[in-house]
Amino acid sequence: MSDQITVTDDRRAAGVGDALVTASGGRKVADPGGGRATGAAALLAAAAVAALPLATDYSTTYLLAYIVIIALLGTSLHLLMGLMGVFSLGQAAMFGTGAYVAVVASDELALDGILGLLLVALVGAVLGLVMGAVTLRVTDLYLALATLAVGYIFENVVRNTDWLGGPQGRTGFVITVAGRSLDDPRLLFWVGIVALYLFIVIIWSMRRSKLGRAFMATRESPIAARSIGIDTRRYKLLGFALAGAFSGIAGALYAAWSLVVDPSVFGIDLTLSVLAIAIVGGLRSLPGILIVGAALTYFRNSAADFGAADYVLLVYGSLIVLSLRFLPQGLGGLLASTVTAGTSRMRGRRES
Amino acid sequence: MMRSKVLASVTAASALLLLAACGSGDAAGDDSGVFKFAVVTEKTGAYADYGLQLEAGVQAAVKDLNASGDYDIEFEPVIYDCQSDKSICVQHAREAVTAEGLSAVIGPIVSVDILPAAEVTERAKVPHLVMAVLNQITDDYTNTFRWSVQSDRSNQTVVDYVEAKMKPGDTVAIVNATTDFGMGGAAQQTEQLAAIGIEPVASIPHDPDQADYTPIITELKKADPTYVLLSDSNPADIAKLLRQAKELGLKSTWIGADASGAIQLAGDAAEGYLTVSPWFPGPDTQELTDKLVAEGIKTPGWISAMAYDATLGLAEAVDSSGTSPEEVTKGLESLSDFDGLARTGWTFSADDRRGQTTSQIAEWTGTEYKIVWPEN
Repeated sequence: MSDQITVTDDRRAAGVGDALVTASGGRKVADPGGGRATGAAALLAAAAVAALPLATDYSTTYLLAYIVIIALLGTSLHLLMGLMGVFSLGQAAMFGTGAYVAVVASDELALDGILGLLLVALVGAVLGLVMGAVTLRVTDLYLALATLAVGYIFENVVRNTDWLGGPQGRTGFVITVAGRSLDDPRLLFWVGIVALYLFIVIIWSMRRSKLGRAFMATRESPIAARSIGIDTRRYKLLGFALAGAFSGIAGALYAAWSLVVDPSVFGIDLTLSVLAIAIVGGLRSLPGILIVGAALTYFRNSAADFGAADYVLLVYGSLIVLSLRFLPQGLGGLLASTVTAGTSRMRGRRES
Repeated sequence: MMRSKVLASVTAASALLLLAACGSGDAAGDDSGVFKFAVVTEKTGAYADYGLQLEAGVQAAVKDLNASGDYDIEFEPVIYDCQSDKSICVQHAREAVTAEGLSAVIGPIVSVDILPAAEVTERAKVPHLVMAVLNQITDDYTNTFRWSVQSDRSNQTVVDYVEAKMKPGDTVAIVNATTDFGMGGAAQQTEQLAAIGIEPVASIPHDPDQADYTPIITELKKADPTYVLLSDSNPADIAKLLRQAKELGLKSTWIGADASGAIQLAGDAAEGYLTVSPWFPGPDTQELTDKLVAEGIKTPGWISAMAYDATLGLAEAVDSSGTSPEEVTKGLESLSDFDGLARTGWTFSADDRRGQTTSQIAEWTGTEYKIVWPEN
């Protein structure tokens, strides 16, 4: 084991050397957890999630669909911030654009959702590319503010565009997929879960590839990455485009879910709540983000049932503070270290 | 390791989604002799002041209805707190009309929360009683019943008042916040004034949440209008404008919307301020005011009063037509000159679901509201 370079767990790739070696064509990456059994179990779990709407009532299925929409946004944040280290607050611009494009595609162009969602993904990707290109020269706080500003600009433009419904937004639209209305929460959930699984698989595949390691190398040190021939700007644009495409799809599904699109879809509130999920879940941990995303979205929607509706922001704020203090890598970091420790113990027993 | 992580992702999501699935509430059931209806309102969050008023109005009415002995059926509101979040409002509206199968929905109170909820109820063909002022809510939906006065009618009430009171040489200015409410109200007032041949001597928009409104007051002093029509729903901004107008010696009469808390924040500067609203608390409406105070509302406002009347109207519709959504809709559409405790003459039909078409204007005397329009 000691002669292997394992960068599949990117926390271990914190030393830029490992990432750079593999990103530039280094030794083969180990996958100690691989195996058909694991893959089959993953498929089974995925199928179980997909089958959930068969066992739930309409309103619960709508809640599940909303959780999936938030998970899509959280996953895009994981890609940009966790994998690439790009501190973007432009998710709302991509999300809102996706919502409006989906409604226009449905209302004005009479496009079915299959084509409509492809159009949404394309427009989201182009927006991501533009956002990435505009912010190529800035980093950190400046990058965050520049991407945030895009959302404000879009909100203002939409608010003052009568054709898009102005301040009140648009209502009365029906988005269909294969001729069936997304008013059906099960269909909405299934379309969302397919998009989420596709996004997870893309990210998973990227992380195992040279591309993903280039992302991580860029994250750890752009200068060092460029010095070994990684075109960091191209990868940044690619990441923005991918995040834009899936954030746009999340927005389109949100439009179908909420039945109304108005300029508030470009607001900072949604971005901040997803950012909170990503921080508590662990920016670099997809499992952490998915778990915390599902838990906090469920909590937010059911807070009144717990008698905690007055304390939602207090809970969110406390979780962020406690997470940053005690779990800087979020819940995902804790899970990963627990799993790693358990695996090591088991191996130790086996070898002894 | 990577596959393990994917497995962990999917399994974790499964577990949490299952938890969410298992955590959903049970259906309310349809107890014989009990008519349950949904009240989706902002009990917490940014609009809690308004949402709690709505709840209090409904609860006060339900107590009176059930105690009256006039109905064979008992009324029971099922309250949903949508936390001033439109996503949660739409989720609860769905829960009410699909999972719970309730036959009518009241609320939420804020327009941005009502619109998605109205989309849900319209698609489910469930009658929806609303209190907000946005025209679109009854213009665009076939199942909504407005238990208040929509904004263009309130603005018309203001213009009618000004027209009746203006003497030769009197002038009018418009001040509005650059919000949806403010810009929409200013546009309506400008149009309505133009219809009676009045052109404002000044029309001044302002961004919300400013600390200093001196430039606006200075501009108003130059124009020296007799009346300042204010389109602003932010209590703090209204209070600041009134205070700074008093400090700078502006003599104009201000007429604005009823923004909860503005009078208290403005203090002495609010004396003489004219407010347009469907209802005012006070000696003339003491009975209803007392009922609402008994529900825990210190200063009852029009929202709680309208919610009270809406609940009475719903009961009347159920009593006359039945408890299914179609029957309740039919019952509401057939309400004509129905007298509530807050307002009289509530009238609805399939083509006009606005309820009331005129508002009232009251002057704040420093201790109470004195209704000045319509004149008795």
